[in-house]
Amino acid sequence: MRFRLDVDGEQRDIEVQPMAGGFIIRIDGAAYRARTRLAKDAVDVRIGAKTLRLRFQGDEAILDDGIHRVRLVEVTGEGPDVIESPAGPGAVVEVRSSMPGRVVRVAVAPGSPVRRGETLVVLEAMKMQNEIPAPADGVVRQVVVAEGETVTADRVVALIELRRPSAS
Amino acid sequence: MFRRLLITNRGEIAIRVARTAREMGIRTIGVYSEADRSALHRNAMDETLLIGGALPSDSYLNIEHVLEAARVARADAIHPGYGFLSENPSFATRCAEAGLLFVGPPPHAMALSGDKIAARKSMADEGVPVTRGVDRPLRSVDEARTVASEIGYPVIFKATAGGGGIGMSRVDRPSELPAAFESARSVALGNFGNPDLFLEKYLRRARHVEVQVLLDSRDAVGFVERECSVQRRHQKLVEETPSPAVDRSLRSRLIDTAVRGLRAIGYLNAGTVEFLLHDGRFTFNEVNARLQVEHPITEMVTGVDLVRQQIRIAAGDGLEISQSDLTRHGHAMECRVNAEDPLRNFLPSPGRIVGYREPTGPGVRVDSGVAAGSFVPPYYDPLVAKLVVHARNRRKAIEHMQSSIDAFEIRGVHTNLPFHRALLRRPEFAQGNLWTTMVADLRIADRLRSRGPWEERIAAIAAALFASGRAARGPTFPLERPSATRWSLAGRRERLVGGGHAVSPRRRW
Repeated sequence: MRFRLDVDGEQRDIEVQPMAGGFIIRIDGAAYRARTRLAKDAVDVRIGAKTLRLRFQGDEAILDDGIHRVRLVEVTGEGPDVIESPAGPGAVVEVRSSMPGRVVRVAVAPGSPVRRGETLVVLEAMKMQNEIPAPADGVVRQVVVAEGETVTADRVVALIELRRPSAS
Repeated sequence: MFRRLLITNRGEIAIRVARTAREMGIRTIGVYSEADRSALHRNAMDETLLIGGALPSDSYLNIEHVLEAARVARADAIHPGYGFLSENPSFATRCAEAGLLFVGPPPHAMALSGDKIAARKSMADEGVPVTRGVDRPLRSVDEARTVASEIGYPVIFKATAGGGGIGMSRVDRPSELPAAFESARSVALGNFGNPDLFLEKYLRRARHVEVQVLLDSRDAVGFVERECSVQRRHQKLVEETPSPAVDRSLRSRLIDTAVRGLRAIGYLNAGTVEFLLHDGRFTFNEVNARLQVEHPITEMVTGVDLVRQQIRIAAGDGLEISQSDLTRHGHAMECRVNAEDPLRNFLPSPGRIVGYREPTGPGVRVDSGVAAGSFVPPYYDPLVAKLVVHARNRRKAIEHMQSSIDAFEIRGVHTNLPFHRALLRRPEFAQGNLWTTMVADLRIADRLRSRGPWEERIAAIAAALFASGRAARGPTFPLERPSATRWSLAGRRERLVGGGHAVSPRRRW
């Protein structure tokens, strides 16, 4: 299950995966193993070397050493990554920016055939360049950004129509 | 002493320079770009001026805009900090022409330091040992190949006009040379407007040590060395002083060599001579003609305010200290805190800082450019703060750093604090066994799994929301107690099926 959680104003995308004896909690590429135990009016969570006791009251999560304002912003349910599941051959997929930054180069034009991994757009942030690759073989349908433009993270930069399998 | 100082930088270094200048009774004038309207460094100044758009080339790197700001502000001196225009000789010349004192070296010494080949030659002429290499720009792949086979592989290409590790390219065998030559040239051209390369022997498992020097027209002071071997892609991440690899006799040779080398090129003000330390021998690497990011560790062990000395030298008041006054206590260490995500290959992580708490206590210094609510723009260097500790000895400094890292809370953007936490736990680091490629060789970032205590808390909250069934009910969850009984994996799955998208994400409480 995936959801977006806002804790004291900081929003994080979280994936929870139940497994024997607990959960794997994934946040932006980090993975934490958690075990939970429901107590009378609280939940004990064992994570890393510590055990934390949490109580929820309204929109607050109350811990022994602090209170956090918690909001569940969005719940997207279960399912694999956006790009792989519904998008079969011929489908048009959105390619998004991995980080906020400035578009320093657009390497493709509408109609260009692209191979998986080929650079579509180069972003620059904090003196570091980051290439956004094509997620699969296909044809560029639209490039949504222009060189010099500043984009936020997770913004659509291009649309790719996935290639239909040839003879097979 | 001058009265009005224009500080042409941003972030922590602008704040750090302003602190000393105000202490000296100098009025501080800051500059900011469109992207820095709400930046913290503006609060540290007596006055601030807008100098242009968000891109560095429109603001902090724009000589015309900066000089116009100096004119409008009636500044009589300029402190450039580090980066941006700090090592640009034509900027220093233009300042002099406009009647502004430049707090830094004279333009000719800066130009010489910035030309890596010229610097190598001057140092060699002065008897400073230099790494085996060529002292001329390489014109072709063939010339590079000939030189490389004379010197012996591995070799490293460096940009004549380079700096900050950009345009350096290591070559392990002859077959890799043509591609490395071409790519290093194009990187050098793109970054410095000059494609010229030279070549040096690449030293495996070398350490990077450097000597801070202050020079006025009469005297010079060399400080105890800083070890800056912990680097990633030639960018320093952790610095400490003294170096665990330098004994007293090596130290005095390093200091003598650095002072002699800078004197020989007519250097004044603060400068640093970088060396590579390899098999107990040292060779010259380059001169940094500016105040350096890692200057606080030197201040911690000696009690000397380097910015104060810089300002005094520029104003003609001279050094307040001499080599024989200099004492040194304990061990200092700095971790550079960058807004980048070490769990995703150090991807830049600009954004809003929603929570911020610095470690405090004896022996802790944080030079920071941000606070809670600050926005970290994507246009500039990722450095947001420097965590510096001072303790009686190296072992205690490491312990102090570890607890300070855990107490440093930065939320809203990712930082490399988890990387520092992992590095400090390595036995190699604890033993003082450091080398410039250790971060990559030991795959320290690849082994990271956790972002630290704050994110573990978020994970714990997420786990509790899930376990109590609240997450499954969608974005709004009623104010009730979690059911204490009938709880199992199967039960949780059942609740999930009914949950999901039932409630629109917009409906919050």
